[in-house]
Amino acid sequence: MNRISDKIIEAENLVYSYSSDGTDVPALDGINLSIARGEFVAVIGRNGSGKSTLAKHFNALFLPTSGAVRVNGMDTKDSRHLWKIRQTVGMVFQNPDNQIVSTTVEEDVAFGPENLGVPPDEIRKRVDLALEWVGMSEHKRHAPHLLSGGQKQRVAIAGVLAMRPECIVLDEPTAMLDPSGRREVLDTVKRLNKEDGITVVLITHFMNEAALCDRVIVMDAGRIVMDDAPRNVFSQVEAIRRLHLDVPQVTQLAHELARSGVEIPLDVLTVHEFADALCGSKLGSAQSSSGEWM
Amino acid sequence: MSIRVENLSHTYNPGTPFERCAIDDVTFEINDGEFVAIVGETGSGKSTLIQHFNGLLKPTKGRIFVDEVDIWGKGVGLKSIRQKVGLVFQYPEHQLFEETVFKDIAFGPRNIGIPDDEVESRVQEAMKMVGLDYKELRDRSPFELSGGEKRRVAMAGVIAMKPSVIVLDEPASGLDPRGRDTILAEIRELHEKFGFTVVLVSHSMEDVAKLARRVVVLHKARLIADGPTKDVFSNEDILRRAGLEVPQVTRLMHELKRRNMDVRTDILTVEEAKHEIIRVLKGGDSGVS
Amino acid sequence: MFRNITLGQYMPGTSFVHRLDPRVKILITLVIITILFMVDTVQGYGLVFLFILGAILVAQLPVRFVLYGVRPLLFILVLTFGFHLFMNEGRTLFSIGPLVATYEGAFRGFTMAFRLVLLVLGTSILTLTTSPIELTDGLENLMSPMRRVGIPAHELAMMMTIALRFIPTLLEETEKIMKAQMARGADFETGNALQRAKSLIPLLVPLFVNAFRRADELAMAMEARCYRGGEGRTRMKQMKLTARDVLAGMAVTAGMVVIGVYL
Repeated sequence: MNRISDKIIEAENLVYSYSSDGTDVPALDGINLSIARGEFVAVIGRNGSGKSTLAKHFNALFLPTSGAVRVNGMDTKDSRHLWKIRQTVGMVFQNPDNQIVSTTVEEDVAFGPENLGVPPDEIRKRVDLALEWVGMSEHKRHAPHLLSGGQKQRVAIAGVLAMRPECIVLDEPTAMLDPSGRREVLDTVKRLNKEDGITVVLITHFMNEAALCDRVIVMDAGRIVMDDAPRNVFSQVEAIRRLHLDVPQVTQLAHELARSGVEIPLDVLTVHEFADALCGSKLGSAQSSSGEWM
Repeated sequence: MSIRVENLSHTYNPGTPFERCAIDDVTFEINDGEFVAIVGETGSGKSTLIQHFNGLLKPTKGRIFVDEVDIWGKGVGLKSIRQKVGLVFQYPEHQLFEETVFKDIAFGPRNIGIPDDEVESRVQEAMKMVGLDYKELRDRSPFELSGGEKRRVAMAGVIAMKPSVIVLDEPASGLDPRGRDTILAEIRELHEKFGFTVVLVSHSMEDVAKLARRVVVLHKARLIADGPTKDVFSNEDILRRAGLEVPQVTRLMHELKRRNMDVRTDILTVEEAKHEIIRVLKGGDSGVS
Repeated sequence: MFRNITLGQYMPGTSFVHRLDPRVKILITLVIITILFMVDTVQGYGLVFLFILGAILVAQLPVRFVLYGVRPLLFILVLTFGFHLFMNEGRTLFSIGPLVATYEGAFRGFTMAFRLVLLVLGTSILTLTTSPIELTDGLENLMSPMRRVGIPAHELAMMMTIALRFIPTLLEETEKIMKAQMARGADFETGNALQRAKSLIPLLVPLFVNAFRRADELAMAMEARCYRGGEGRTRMKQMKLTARDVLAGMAVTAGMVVIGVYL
């Protein structure tokens, strides 16, 4: 494969507008962005900020009104690359019910590779492997409507994995799930990123989820207004609030304590970081932060 | 208005291979004027339980009393029970159907035979309670509103029936942080300012911590804890067992305690945590190493 | 309320019947249906009934559960029986006013009703032992020669798959909306026909709005997974006829033909 650079997704002056009552409304207004191979990026922003519209440009479900989006150097407007792009960047949506096509788990996971014309034996292998990856092997013959929300989302992730993507874009995958469902999905995604090197773009309303990513992109009114490490983004408590967003509770607590004169760094993001900062020791920090999605 | 649940059990599809027990011998009471949260993971039986409160489901075993009246007793009209106990389902915006916001909110009051002039004042009042502008929105189609507005219209549709208890199933799910805060603030107001007894079903423990004074925990069809929010949340094990998470600040206090800092662990909000940490630091008796 | 529908449900299993090739099962079902319209004697019906009962046992299905599937038809069965009871000429059994029930009518009514029961039982063995996906695959495969005359076999099968996939979801949603409106004092049960039809509006409007939203999202999800119709598409599961399938098909067909011709 001719890899042009280590950038898997690039957006250049991306503008997307749709017409409503005869006038053009820009949903995306000049986005410049690049996502490197292997990154774990969160995109946050209030409802209507354009984050979901942006995500749908990453695998050519939407095409730019002006500007360009490139996936592995392939312009998404070039219809010759359409299927290659969609195979490269897989997508998981918010509502688990509305993205499962088939009446059994394994048939659904097979749907993508079948569309790509992969030979039957190879599909079988990929399906089994993908289901094992997300821990759903024992449910492979079950009907999807009998699964829990978290399980359905893991099936959806397996369906994307079976297409052997390099990047997965998840559009609020946990919005409809309960805490254990959320944990299942996020642990799975994190593992795919760390162990398999799959690039992850996670769109979310949960700030604790974003706090554990490598990088956070904040959107507002169709533009990118912040793009930095979570530490640098969430320590700007006031700015984040003005964007109608939240910061993790411990970050907020650190700010309030600092305002009352307690000496504490403002960029703590997790319970363990906070405890380390306050108690000045690394006691117990051997515990990984992966349990802190909530 | 009180709701008393006595030895309630509910089994779906009894006698078929798809038989499933969703509620297993649950007993508790919601008192007049309370703000109670019912928590538990998906499939724990929360939804089944609340549908018994207004007679949408009939118990397989056990009884439900609303204001000391057995709602499945002879001569009890379920319509009057449904007027007294208002139930707002999850994603209630998915049940809107009328051409205008006004007509949709008026659906409930009209069904229970409220005269037209009173319907109008009720709709007006209900919209005000959930923060919707009556004049601006009354003739709009509910389908062209934003997600948050749609949800408020659906809530107003229940409030307009003037229930004394409002049961809300995951009222904030799917909203962004600000939308979440706003709707929760409105629910708090329904309780504090307008005097409704509120039952909140949620799996966000941070929301529950901010609002409810009492928590009922369901796990695998059974009631496993029932008590003041502080007590239930300071027992991390129970929530863990129920597949839930205590709020991040509560977890922080547990962690600090583990590191020999002498803090209380029955802390539910950022505000409380701040005061507690300052108290311990100023008191000088901290375990800070 | 919708949880009680057994007709058309699939019960996973590993019995001989479950493992038969879906195409063979579909063809056998068609043979049984044809034969049921050919036989006209008590012995004929009896033998088909015995065969179906045998198939239920071999398929290791709970007999009572399968028989439950006939319940929704009860009204039609009674109607059929009544119709034939009074509309046939012959020896008088009893009479109500101008209506005369006859022995011949009772016999015909009974056989017609029994035929309906057997039709339902026969087809429910197919649906109970064949997963929806096998069923649609089987149909797609059997129909594929007809593509040449312009029948879109793949598209029809895909439509059927999606329909089957979403039936439980939509039933659940119907129930939920119904309850939500009942919580607002709606009444779906009383009133005259017009009032009842009108009371369905608060149910049907949201149901359709939601179904369109789902369809929209599903279409996008399918596109995101590179769906582009049947062209160039492969299947994970290849159907292969085994000797067992062929033998089972032939044996049943032969048996049925004998019943059809001689009884």
